[in-house]
Formats: sequence, structure tokens, C-alpha cells
Amino acid sequence: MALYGGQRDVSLFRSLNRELLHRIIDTEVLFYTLNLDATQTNIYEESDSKVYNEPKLVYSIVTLDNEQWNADDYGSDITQTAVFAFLQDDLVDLNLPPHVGDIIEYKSRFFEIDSVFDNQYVVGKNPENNFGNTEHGYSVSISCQAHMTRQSKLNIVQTRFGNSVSIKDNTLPSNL
Amino acid sequence: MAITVPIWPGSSSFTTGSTPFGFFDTDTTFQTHADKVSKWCATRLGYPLSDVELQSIHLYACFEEAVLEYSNQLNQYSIRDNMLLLQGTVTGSNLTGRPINPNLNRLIGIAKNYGTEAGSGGYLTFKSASIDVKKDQQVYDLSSLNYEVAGDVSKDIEIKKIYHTTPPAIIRYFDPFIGTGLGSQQLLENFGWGNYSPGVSFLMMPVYADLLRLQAIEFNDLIRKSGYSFELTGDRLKIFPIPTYDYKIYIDYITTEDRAAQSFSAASNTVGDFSNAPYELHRYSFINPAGKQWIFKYTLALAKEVLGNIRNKYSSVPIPGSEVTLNGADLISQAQVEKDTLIAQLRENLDAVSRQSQLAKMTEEADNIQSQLNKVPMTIYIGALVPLIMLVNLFLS
Repeated sequence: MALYGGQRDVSLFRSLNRELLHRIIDTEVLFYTLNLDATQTNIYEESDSKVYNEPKLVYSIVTLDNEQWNADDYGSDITQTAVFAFLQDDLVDLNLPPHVGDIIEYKSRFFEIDSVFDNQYVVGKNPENNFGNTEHGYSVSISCQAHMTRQSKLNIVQTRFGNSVSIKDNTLPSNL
Repeated sequence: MAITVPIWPGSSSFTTGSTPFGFFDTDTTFQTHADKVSKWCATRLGYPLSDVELQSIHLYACFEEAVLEYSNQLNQYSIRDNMLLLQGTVTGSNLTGRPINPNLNRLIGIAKNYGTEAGSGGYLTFKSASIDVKKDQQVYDLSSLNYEVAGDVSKDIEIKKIYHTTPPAIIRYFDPFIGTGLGSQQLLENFGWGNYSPGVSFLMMPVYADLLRLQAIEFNDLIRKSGYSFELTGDRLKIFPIPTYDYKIYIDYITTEDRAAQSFSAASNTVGDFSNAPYELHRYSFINPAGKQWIFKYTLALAKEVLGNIRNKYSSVPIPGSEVTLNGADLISQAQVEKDTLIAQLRENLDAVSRQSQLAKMTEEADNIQSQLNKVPMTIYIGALVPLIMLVNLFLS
């Protein structure tokens, strides 16, 4: 039986983390999870009109990389990657398991999750898969590596206005 | 299984049994102050802007410890100041907060040991023994003494006095046969006054005449007679002069065992040392505001120490994607400094009000008053001088 990393210690870590994320850092992002049931796919399970569930506000520690400008034959473009780190307890409370393809809105930019990491443990133990020992260890966070994606592709917010029939027929946002 | 250990919620409600020892739990003032002090400490530690990872029981424990420390410091000081007066007194009564009137009891008790050795008072009673002196036998073994307590024959004894000396000159003051007496002994004996002092002669003489006569008798014994004396070496007693007839010699003695035993003769319910000096904990409600303020500050220092230890259990705390170092070490060092300062301050105050310091202060004050009074100009009494001058003037005119 381990001496350190028990649930009382974990409770302290949880309390400190919540204080830090909720009251000191206080940075929130909107988390859009993919609604697989509502998304139409082709025979290859691909879709160009993904549908997302209602977003949820989540506290996060955001690490934005520098924007990269590209200019090619098709014009200029901008790319950016970011890491969104969430307190796992927050995600559990919101019933929000992050998956690749989910969208995170931050500073009016939309980031599509490329990879999800769940590898930050207290005393190296995750009580959820520690061979039945649920008394020790703590999975602190889930980090999501994401890249900025085009808003027009998501159809979460209306990006073009005019006399388009498709716009008139749908309420905004169209893919929510 | 995830558990959530609650931390300071912003308020508390003290109930009896909330402190580890419960020394002051029934004191209503303590009960009231426990919650107020807890709130104050949490506020001083940053609540509600930042969480305080303490529970009310931590703060209550700190509060109790602070009162204990305060009481402990005061009691230690009182015991130290009064130990000489306390030793040997009964342990039954509680002296906390009571003034102690100085007395010389213990000093006299210590001095009595010298009285014992000098054969004047003291703790030990001299025991008596005798030895049957035989004609022509000069040397005797102390083991052959007739001891007052038979069992003492096997113990280490210390001879205090051997009654084998020349009879005092005063009893032969009127001896007609020594050649130096007053020569009227026979006369006085007939009147039944033989054992009275020279004062019965009613002859007006200076005191030194008596002294000279006594000295003459002693010189006479010393020079013309065999002196009464003895040698004591180990267990062997050699007496002088060689006995010419059988008689008894009496001896005063003590056993070393008795002397040692009188060191432990105090009853078991008497004060012996720091541990059983009859000082109980102070009642919190009776502590004055100055003392309570000290207690509050000490409580805060202790709370900082506890919080520092909690925050310092792990050198760094993981946060999503990173880790942070908390201020546990700072809190602990702050707490240590504050505790040391408070203790030093309290001891300094206690030193300033010790009996010795107060006496020194009063002496200094008296000296200063005297010094001030000396600076007041002496008044010139002119009531008699003026008529005198007028009289002289009249005479001269």
C-alpha cells in the first residue's frame, strides 16, 4: 500500500487545481463535441457537414503557438496550433470526454482536436486503471493538441451573408 | 474512490470536543473566541480571495495550543521565580495566578544542614552511645560501644562528640585544693550554695578577675596534671590519661545513613521540582486583553505553520499540463519567525515583572526621586534673622 498519493492528498490537489483554474487563471473555452448521430457520412464514413452538440464552457490552460502565415498560388493562409489542458475532474463533472475531431472555440477561433493525451498522473498512478487500486493516484489533466480550422468549414457560426438560398432556409448556426 | 476533503468554508461553529485536548472547551469565552479567531486567521491567510486548505479543527487546535503555550510560559516563569519557596510545600493547592509572598523557609531549611554539623539544631538527632572504660586499658574498638540503637553497630557512624574532657574550670572555682580557688568552697557548700556561680560571693570584683582565675585553673590543669584527651583513628579510640579506675565514657554519634535519609524525608505530596509545582492551566476567560492578543497572534503563526506543512508535503503540485510550487516553505519560515518573536516578547515582559526586576525598579525609582528632591533649593529661614539684624542695628545706632 502506497504511503503517498492517497485520496486525501488527491483531494488537496483537486482543490488547489480548481482554485487555480477557476478563480486565478479563469480562462474558459467553448467545447463542441461531435454529434455522430446527426452527422451524415458517406460510404467511407466521411462527412463534409459535421454536426456538433451544444458547446460547454470549460476552464482550460491554453498554450497557443505562434501563427504561421503561408502564401501560395491560392492566396495567403494562416495556421496555428495550440494545446488545451483541462482538469480531468471538470470534464468528468461536465460529462465531456474529449475526442479527436471535437472543436474548441477560443478567442473567436476554432481549433480542431488532433490528439488527446491523458498521461499526467500524481505519483504515477491513475486510479481508473491501477488494477483495482482506486485509493492512490490521480489523473490530473487531459491535454488536447489542436490546430486552428476554418470557420466556414464548421458552419458553427455564419461566416458568409447574402442571398444564398441555403442561408435563408436555415437558422443560425447551421451545424449545431 | 474519489473523496473530497472539505477545506475552510468561511465560517465555523465550535462545539465541545473540537479541540485535541479539550482543556478549554467548556470555557464560554473560549468557545466564542474559537470561531472568531478561526475566521480572523483564515482572513489573514487570504480567505476569501484565496482558499485556505485548513479545516476548523486545525484552527481550533492552533488556538488551543496558543492558549496552552501562553499559560505554559507564564507558569514556567512563576515556577522558576518561586522554586525556592515552592519546594517542600504541599502540592494540593493551585497557585496559578496567585501572588507568592517570599519567605526564608527554604533558606533556613538549607542552612539547617550546617546546624546539624555544628551540633546546633538541624535535621538530625544525635544518638548516644557509651563505652565502659576499664582500668589500665587505653584503647577501645568502636564496635564494642553500647549503642542507643542496637542495630547501629553494623552501620557507618560518625562521632560527633566524646565526653572525655577536663572538668570545666568554673565548677572548681571555689575548690580550696587547687591552690587558685577562692578558698571558700567549704563555706558555701555548708549553706547549700556550692553549685551556684561566682555571683554568690557578693564580692565586688571586675569580670576579668573571674576570667583570670578560670584561666589560672586551666593552666594549672594543663601544666601540673595529666590532660583529659583522646585520639580517634578509624574504629580505634585511645583515651588519655591511662584510666586508673573503671568508668563510662559517653559518645554522641550519627549514622551516615540517617544523614543521607534526611535528604529524602519530604512527604510524597510535596513540591520537589518543576514537574509537580502546583501550577495549573490558566482559565482563558480570565486572561486579560493583552494576553488574548498574544494568543491570537500565536494562533495565526501556528496556523501558518500547519498550512505551510500541508502545502509543503509535495514540493510541486501538478496542474493541467504543468506544475506549480506552493508557498509552503515561505509560510513555515514566516511562522517560525513569528513564533520566536512572540515567545521572546512574552519572556521579555515576564522578565521585566519578575520579583528581582521589580525590586530593582523600585530601588531605582526611589533613588531617582531622592535625586530629584535633592535638586529642590533649600529654603532660608529668615523669620529670626530679621529681628536679629534689627536688634544689631539698634544696638549700633
